[in-house]
Amino acid sequence: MSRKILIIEDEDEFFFFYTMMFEGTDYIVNRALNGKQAFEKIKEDKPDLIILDLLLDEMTGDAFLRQLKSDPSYASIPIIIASSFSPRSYKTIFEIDPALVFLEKPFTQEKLLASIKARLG
Amino acid sequence: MNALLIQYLQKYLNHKNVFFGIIKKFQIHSYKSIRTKIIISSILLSVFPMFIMRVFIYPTGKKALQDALIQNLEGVGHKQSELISRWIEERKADARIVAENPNVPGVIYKSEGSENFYRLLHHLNTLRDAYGYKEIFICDRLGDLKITTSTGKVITNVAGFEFFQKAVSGVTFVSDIAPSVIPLENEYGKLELGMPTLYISTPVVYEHKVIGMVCLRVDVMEISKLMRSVRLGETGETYLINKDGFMISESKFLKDLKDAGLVNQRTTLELQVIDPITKKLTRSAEECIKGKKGHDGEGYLDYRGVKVLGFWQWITALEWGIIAEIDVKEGYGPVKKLHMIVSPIIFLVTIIVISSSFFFGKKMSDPILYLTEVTKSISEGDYSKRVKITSHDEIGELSNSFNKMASILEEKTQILREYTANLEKTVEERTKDLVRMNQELEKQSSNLERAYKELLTLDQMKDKMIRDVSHELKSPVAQVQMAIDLWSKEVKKEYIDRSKEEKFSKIINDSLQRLRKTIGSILDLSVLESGRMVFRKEPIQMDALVLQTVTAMRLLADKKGLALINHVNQGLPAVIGDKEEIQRVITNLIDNAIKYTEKGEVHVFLEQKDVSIEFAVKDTGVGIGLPKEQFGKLFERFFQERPRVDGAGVGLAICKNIIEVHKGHLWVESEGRGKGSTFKFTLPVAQEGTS
Repeated sequence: MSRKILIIEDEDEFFFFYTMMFEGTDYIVNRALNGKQAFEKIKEDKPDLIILDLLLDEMTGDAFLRQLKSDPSYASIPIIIASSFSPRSYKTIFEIDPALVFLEKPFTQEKLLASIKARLG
Repeated sequence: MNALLIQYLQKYLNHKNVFFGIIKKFQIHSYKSIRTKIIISSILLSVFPMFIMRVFIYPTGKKALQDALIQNLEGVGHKQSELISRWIEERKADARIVAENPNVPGVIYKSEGSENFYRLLHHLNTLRDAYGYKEIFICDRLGDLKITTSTGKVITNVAGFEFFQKAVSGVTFVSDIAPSVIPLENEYGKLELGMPTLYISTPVVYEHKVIGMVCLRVDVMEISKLMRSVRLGETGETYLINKDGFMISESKFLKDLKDAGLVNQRTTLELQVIDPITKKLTRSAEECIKGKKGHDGEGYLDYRGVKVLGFWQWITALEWGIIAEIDVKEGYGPVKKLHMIVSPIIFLVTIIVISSSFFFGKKMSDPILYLTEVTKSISEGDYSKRVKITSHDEIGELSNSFNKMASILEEKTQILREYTANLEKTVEERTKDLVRMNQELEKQSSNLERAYKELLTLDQMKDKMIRDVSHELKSPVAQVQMAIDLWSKEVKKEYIDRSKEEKFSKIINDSLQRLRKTIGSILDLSVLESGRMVFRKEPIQMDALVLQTVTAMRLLADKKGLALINHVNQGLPAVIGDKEEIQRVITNLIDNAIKYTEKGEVHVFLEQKDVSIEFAVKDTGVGIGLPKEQFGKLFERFFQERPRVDGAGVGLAICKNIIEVHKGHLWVESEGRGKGSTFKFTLPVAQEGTS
């Protein structure tokens, strides 16, 4: 069965890289430009995994994460943070969700798919 | 009846009111008052001995008197009883003497008229007169009368009488006192049927055989005389009763009884000894008839209905009771008399003691109450009050000491008052100082707090700026890296998608451009801030420069569908400065206006204001979300109101730096987010003679 992945990414360049990387896999990829749009998409069709950029225009990544985790029906969705920041400068984010995976940009296709696999099994 | 009751009640109420009035007058409000205490203890002390006397001594005296009275009554009773017994014995002896007279048998056997008869009759008459008998008579064995001293009516045969039967059976007999069956002469010299009579009979023995009987009819009044022979005060008496409770002697109060109609002639056999109220035998009579001997010292009602003390004894041999009684009134007379004398004295003494208690209690407590009153006034704050008591006793001394104390107190209080007033003033001043200091401190504290908050904000801002700038540097690098990675993978594929090649190439190019721009800006700014930057000083025609720049930018505005409208005043004076740098500022400001405006217009103004040329770019774009007092932040380096969109955040910092180097001024005006913004700068008009 195909897994649904929601990518929250405002930079078109990075989204292009994602589409390239998911080419040939059976993941169904959906995109949201910001947190607000992401919630709409999650409500519409609950994804199996979310890839989140931390710097978003409308709503910062950690605010989005906090809101998502406070909703019992979505709290269990696995999260992968993909950011050009290093996880060292974003330690507090693990307090919101200790299970999340931090993927520092730039990353390779192998690393992305391995991370997804680790979260989804 | 009711009216009488009401009258009594009113009388009582009047007395009560008078009593309470007295109590009120002496101000007995509470048992706690010293006056009340003095009065009550005086009364108790004086009344106590009287109480002791009344409760213990008086009853003891009464008891002793009662014992003496009873002893007296008992003595009299005993004496009378002996007297009557002896008297009866004497009468019996008389009868026996007659029976032994040698003439008697002859008279019994022979009939009337013999010598013996007259000799005996003479003897009997002598005997009768000597001892006061009513009649002496002798009968034969059949009861037929043989001789009698009586000259009146006689009973010719006495065989039916008890005295006869007892005598012929050989016994000397004393009959009951009973009414006579024939009329007999009474004490008033008249014949009366049913006269009380007492017979004493004895047998006549001749040659060892009872041949007849001698009988003496005794004068009952003699017994009464005997009874009255012993005096027992004014009201004391002794009397005899028979077994039916009838009196068989004469009462001392015969006259009263006759007057009351209780008896006709005499008390003997006429008066039954009963209590006139209960109609029962009196206590003494009842006890006596039962054969008892006793006394009553408390008193009971006698046959007259008078309370008496009594002694009683039953004489078994005669079947008579002897009773000695005296009126309680007389018996306890001395005590009553004493009581009558003592009671008024006690009453008088009590009245005197109570009055003097009130008087002395008042006299003693008045100064104390007065002192209390004055003390109260002083305690309530009237220090001028003094006690006016001039007596030479302890109270006087106390008053003097009190006055002295009050004076000292007044003096000290005055000093204290002054001191307090000073103190209050000082405290007030100090309080004011303190309040002022406190306000200052609070102000400083709030300043400190604000400074601290600002510092915190600054710190957070610094963090954010570093993060944003590093993102601005790292992001393009990451894009280039990932593009190269993916493209190198792509080229290894059998079929290479050339459209992707273009895309990757564009991404790499854009990213590198972005990177170069960011790095360039940062470098420019650092050079500007270091002051090492060298500016040219040439006259600049601002109108021409602005128009030129607007024309260059129009393409960008058209691309976004925005109207770029020019309001440049022509013929303005020149300014001095580096034309290239000023153009950079104008370009940057118009570029920003286009960048942050999605639809509408961008207006460019240029005009002279006093000694300055003012340039302004007004857009209808996103405006500024910051509070007005924070607009200055927009010109700080690395500040990005909206990261990602804003780039490295150094553009406005560079502009400000350049304008300020030209002695100009750069600022922004905005009504808020979504309401557009106007960036303005001024440059001083070139002074004449400078070039």
